[in-house]
Amino acid sequence: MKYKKYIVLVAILIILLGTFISINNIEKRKIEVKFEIGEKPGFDLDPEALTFGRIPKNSSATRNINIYNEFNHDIYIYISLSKNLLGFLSVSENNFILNPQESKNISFFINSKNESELGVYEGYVIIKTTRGWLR
Amino acid sequence: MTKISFAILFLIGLIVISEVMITGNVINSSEGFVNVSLESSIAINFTIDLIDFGSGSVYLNNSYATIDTRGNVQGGNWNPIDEGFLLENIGNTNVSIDLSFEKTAREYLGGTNPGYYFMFNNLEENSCLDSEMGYEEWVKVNNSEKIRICNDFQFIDLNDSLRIDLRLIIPSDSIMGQRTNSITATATRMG
Repeated sequence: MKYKKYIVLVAILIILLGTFISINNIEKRKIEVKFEIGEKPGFDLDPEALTFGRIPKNSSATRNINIYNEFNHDIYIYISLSKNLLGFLSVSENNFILNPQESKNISFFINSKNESELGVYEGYVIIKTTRGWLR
Repeated sequence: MTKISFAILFLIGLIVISEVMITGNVINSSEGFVNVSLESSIAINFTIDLIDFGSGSVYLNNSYATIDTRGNVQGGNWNPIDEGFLLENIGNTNVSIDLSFEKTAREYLGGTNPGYYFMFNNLEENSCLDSEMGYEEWVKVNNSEKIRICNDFQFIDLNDSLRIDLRLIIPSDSIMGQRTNSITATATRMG
């Protein structure tokens, strides 16, 4: 009998909290990332993916993403990068609020070092959007 | 034991529900949306180290030396190099290309009347179909502003490579020691 009470209580809490989280998470967008470290610079401007083309060692490449909030309320933006890109890819701004109808340009930077291995690197970034007050 | 089990169950439930409900699709689409768009340009920044002029000096009876990446050395003892740098369009869309240089001749080389020039050319024929600059003409680098070199850089294999060459006029009283400079090539998708 005592267990049943716990089970019901836990079930209700799970549902309430799950619903709370789900209605406040607006979107989670995954964007593929691809670049190559090679001898000569090369361009790749894929409109659907965050491609950087080919960059030499000790070089960098920059590409921008525009994020526009068309909601009538604040949204909170959190950007995460796949682990295999952490030594190469960085972002100009993270963990920020966008006001209604506000847009922001975010720059993504690829940096290669002298000791970087030549080759093709692939991963992804995730742009997660929640309601502004759910930070 | 039971409480711990419930706590674990509770946490698992939370994680499952939050992950299942957030699948990447817009959930509250009736209220509006968040527009994420990739901009149509990319900038690649690299150093002149790619073109290694090596060490050298201006001959004693000369006021300057001229070296370039076309194999020319005049008035100094640098080793000739015949290798510019290449730009390749490895994507699937035509782009325009702008170049900008971090330093001017004065900042890069110093001394009296230094010179810093670049030239571009199709490494593979018809790679650049539209340019307001002359091909194979030396252009002086006056400042760090962008210079449009090509309006229509093709992506088709065998027609997608440009060559950039550099020329330096090094005064006898130029700055001593290793000098570095960087170039930024910016590609912008057409249309």
